[in-house]
Amino acid sequence: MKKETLKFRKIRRSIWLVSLVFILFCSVSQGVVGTEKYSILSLGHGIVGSPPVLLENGTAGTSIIYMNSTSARVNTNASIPTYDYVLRIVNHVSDVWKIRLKAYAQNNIERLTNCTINFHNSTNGTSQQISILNGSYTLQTGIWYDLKSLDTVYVSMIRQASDSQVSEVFIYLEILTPNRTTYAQYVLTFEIT
Amino acid sequence: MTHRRHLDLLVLLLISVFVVSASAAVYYTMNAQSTATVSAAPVYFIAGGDSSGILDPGTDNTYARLSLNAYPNVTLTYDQAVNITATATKQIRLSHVSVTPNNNASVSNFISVVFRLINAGDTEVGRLMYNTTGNIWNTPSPTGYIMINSGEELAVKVEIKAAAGASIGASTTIVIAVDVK
Repeated sequence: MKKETLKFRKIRRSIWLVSLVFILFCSVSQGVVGTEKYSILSLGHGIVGSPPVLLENGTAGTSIIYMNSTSARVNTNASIPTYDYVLRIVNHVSDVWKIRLKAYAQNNIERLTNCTINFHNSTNGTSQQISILNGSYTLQTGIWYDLKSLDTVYVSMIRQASDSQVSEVFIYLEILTPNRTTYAQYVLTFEIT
Repeated sequence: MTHRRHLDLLVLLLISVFVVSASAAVYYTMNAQSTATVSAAPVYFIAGGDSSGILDPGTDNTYARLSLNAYPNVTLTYDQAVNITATATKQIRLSHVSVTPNNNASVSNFISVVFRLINAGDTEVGRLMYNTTGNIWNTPSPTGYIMINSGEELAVKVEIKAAAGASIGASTTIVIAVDVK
């Protein structure tokens, strides 16, 4: 019995010793294993400037150009299948750009049997940018099209619907700085009845 | 017997206190020695694909000034306004430092400025979003810390949108920090 008590005391003493050594280790290592922290700063300075590319009214359908000429709503409400042109994209500076259309949202496009939106001008020919066939997109993002120095690109539409309801297609006009990945997005809304 | 045990423990405790004090003194000396060595920051800025003409890099690439355009009612995106790289594996995050002017009529010329941290796989790994409510800039919380490996490059993508009818020449200055640990 006495032997067992002594053994128990030895174990308890060992636990004390191990605990002390552990505390010592933690105290010493606290200073050594510190974490290095620092910050580097970035300053972003944004200035509002005049947009170099502006939207202008077309000669077909009804287009509303909003403030600053950087967004528009196009309404094709007649039973005419071809609209040329519904908008103009005008470059007011000598810089060159690449432009394309990208559809990002829509309402009730199931009724559209054919809806095609194209770019064209006298030098670059015609480029299909958005295509909806039988209610589904067959082309949601167009290929890049050159907008030359002080040039104009025309936006035309071909459309056919199965009834007289209203469809909406929400599109970004993206304007890319050549050889960069800097681009502007203008919001265009096409209402198709 | 019990007194003897307590005495042992007391001696041991005193020795441990002495060793802790001695360790602290050694640590202090080492720290003083290390501050004499200047080394390059392991995480720093480098030019990205869209930096030309907009990036003014500071000395040692630990500061980056970006001159950003904004157009009324247009979202202008710089996919790689500036990039961040590392020479050792570290953890980084983006955090807000300051925005000026604030609580001022000029603020309403802007809708938002978003700083996104994009990895090589084109995945967003952190975002600081500033937007306005009237004349006030709403400032974001820091992103979570993310790992950057040695040689890895992360892009800082910036999206800036001015309000419809914004005054030409209106400006804003936002300072953000890349915290490294």
